[in-house]
Amino acid sequence: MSSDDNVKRSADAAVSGGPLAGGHHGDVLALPELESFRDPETKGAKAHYDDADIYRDEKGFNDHTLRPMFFTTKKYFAFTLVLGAIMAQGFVAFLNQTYWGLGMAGLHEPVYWGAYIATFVFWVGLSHSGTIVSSILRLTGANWRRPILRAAEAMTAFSLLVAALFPLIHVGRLWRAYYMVPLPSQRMLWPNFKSPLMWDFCAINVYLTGSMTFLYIGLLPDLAVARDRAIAMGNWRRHYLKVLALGWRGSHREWSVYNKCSLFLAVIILLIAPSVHTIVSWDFAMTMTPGWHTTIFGPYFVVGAIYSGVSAVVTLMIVLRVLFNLGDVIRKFHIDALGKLLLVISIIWSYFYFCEFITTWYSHKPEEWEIFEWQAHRFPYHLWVMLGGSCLTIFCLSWRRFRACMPCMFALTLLVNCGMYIERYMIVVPILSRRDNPFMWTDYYPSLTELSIIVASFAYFIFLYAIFIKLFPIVTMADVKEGVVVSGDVRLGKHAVRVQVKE
Amino acid sequence: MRILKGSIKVKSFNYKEDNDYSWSMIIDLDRCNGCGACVIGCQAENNVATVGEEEVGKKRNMHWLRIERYIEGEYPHVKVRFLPMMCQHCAQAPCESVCPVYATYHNPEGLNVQVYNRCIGTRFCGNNCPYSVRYFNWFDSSFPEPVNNQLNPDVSVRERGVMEKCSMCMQRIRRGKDTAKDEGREVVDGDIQPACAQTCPTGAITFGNINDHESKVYKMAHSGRAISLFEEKGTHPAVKYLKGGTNDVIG
Amino acid sequence: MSDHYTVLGLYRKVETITKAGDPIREAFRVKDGDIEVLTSAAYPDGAILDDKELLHQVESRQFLFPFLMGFGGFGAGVTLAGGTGYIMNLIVGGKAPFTYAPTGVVTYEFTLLFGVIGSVLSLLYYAGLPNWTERAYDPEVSDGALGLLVKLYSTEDQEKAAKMMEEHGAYKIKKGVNDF
Repeated sequence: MSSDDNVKRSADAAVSGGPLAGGHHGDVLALPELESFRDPETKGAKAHYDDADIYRDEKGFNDHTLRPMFFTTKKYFAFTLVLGAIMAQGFVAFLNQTYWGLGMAGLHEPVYWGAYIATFVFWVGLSHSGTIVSSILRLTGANWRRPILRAAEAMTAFSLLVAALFPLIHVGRLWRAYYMVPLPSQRMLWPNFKSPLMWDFCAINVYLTGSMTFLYIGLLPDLAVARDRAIAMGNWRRHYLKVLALGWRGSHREWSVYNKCSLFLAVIILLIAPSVHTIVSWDFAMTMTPGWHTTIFGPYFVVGAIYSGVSAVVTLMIVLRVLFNLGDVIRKFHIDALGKLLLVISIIWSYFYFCEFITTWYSHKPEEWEIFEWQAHRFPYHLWVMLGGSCLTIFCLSWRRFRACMPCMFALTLLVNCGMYIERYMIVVPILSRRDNPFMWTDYYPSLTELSIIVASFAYFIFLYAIFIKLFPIVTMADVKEGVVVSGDVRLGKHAVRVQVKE
Repeated sequence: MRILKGSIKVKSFNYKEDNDYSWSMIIDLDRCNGCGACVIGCQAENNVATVGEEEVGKKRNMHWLRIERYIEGEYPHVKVRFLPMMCQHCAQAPCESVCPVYATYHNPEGLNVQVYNRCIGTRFCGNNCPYSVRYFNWFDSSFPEPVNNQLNPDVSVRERGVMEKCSMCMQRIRRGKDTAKDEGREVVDGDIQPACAQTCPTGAITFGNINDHESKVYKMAHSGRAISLFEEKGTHPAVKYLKGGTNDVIG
Repeated sequence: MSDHYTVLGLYRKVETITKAGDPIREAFRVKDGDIEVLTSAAYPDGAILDDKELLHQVESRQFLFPFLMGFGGFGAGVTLAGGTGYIMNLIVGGKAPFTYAPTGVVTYEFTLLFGVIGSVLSLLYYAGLPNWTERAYDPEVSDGALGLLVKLYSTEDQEKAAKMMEEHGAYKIKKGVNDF
């Protein structure tokens, strides 16, 4: 039977059974046969799906999406070597700092927190897109989410791993940092749960556990696919894949339980993620330092985090498309959809900027105004990138043609994250430089040690990601397949419209 | 339920009523001439590290007590004001509650105490102190010959990566209390003198027990000239200043 | 436990496997839990086999794991953050030993942490994972083949079932012992 027949038949069935209303999905299901995943003949009717002939057979799809995992070029090794070198110099700087003392950083009284904490907030912020976007899209059943989930979730997990390093790099006595863990001891060392830092410690750990779990549970069925492939190829990856796949067979019971578990996790992650960045913001907002002590900080940070996170997802998707030849799985359509999402978030974000600035400008409270004046005086270009960047984002993303232009989107999303990094820096540094006591006003410049470690952190993130791509499937294969299973073409007048079935 | 009571009524911990002693310090700004002897006295008494010229240039000096200079007016009608600034031992200290490891807390005698061995150096306390009087050991302190011979054995030398600040000469308070106990009496004025008060040539610094209504500090704190720094922050400092500048002879 | 025998038939199309499942189930009076479908993607409940009732029982109990663990986490959070006030009766910042807001924040995080652990445990418990033993499976499942797996209690039944599956369009049959 040709696949064209199949479409027609199912469309007829759908019409006779009352389309989408008749209760049983069997009537509308058009794609029980996996060989006819894609239908080249009806291409014209399905404008959004046209560049995905790859779905015609599932084996081909598996091969294609697993290719970045199993096949490695020499360039990749060269690239990781470069990353390794950058990480190594950062590590040396870190060892140097730990050996001699934190004086190696540019910090001084009263700027006790500097670039390290700004970078920490940046990385935590970056981690907020992956799981939040992934859970929202999962819960709302947005169909276009399917191929990009893994890449976004992995970003969350790895940026959190990087972020979690910074408090450790930043503390004065690294070798005593375990005092923050509630371990009963004879010396009655016990953490103070009234400290926002302790909340932060809890939240980051919970989020790290949660997002790692989310990533792993999402991986489980794909691990089974990769395992079968690795065993067939005799690839060395079979050893760990066998263990990590937990003996997954894809039985219906497994799937059913698995879907329920994903649902639980999506809901829980959606509750954890905003709380994490709110708590990070409370590290600042709970103090009585002017400029930090504002109620807006919680939502402000959360929206900023999602803003920087979603743009990082776009950046990453474009990189994956180019480097790993995944353009037919992560399509322009996805970038477009993410661009729209980013547009909405950038509007909210600009609104927050406006709220923050207008209240300070209007009330003209001297201690807060001093900080704003200092920011404008000392960091004018930073402010231009930060504020101009967010206006530019709204302007650019409103154009469909801009969203369709991959280099433009790449540049814009990078600019957004530069702006967001500056934003975090502007929250930490100028405010501490202009504290309550004018006798102690000073300026702060990051030292070479700090810069090396921060650059290394970026290399570390990319390195983790690059390793992940080589060890695990980067495309959410099971979700894509599920999308194909539960969707079908319904004839509506002259058009065959692709619909997704929900129970 | 006693433990819950306080969360409703925040100010339930009244050092002035619940304990025998509540230490306080009064600084008469009219008497201060900015000589800086207290700074040196403090540094010698408390083994405060000397960090060297370069580090001081980076604002990493560790003076627990510093003299802040404020210049009023335009040349040639210029007045210089001095403000000795040290830890204010706030009753509601912002630095204490933010420490994740209880390295700083309030002792029953109204002092803000820093436990060096607990400190892990997050520096959150320093960020939350409106007076900026907490100091961080950026490097290991060095006491080259012959300075090591003058180290005070009653005070520990701090490791790198640890916060420190004025302790109101805790070691002297301890000794004063012990002596008074041996003699079977309460501590009275003059029993305890922090290093800065002892060194001050003009007698601008007075230390004492504000719970004792006969004490000097009690009377000075109720003199009408007494002010707290950054009173609007609601920190209720134990250190009080007697307003200066009204007398043009000094100033 | 006595030995059991399994038959795994691989199919290419959903229509064929749907037609194969019910006759086999009736012919050998297979219990609900003894017949399974192996797929590479999540099919809606009841799409291939009528196992809605069984799975409904599982699903209605599955939420208990994160739910009860969440309660445990709530207790842990209150104990840790609130109990700290009792064991470390230190006064910081003029605040009471027990404070509601910080306890609330820590409790929230712990509740969710335990909820995450509970969700994973529910998956492992109800899906029977991890199970690293050799089980009836074929790698072709991950490339899109649909597997019908039946558990039977005699070799004759096994032979018959294999034959039935072949009649119903299975392109590959695998037989096994004690590997359901």
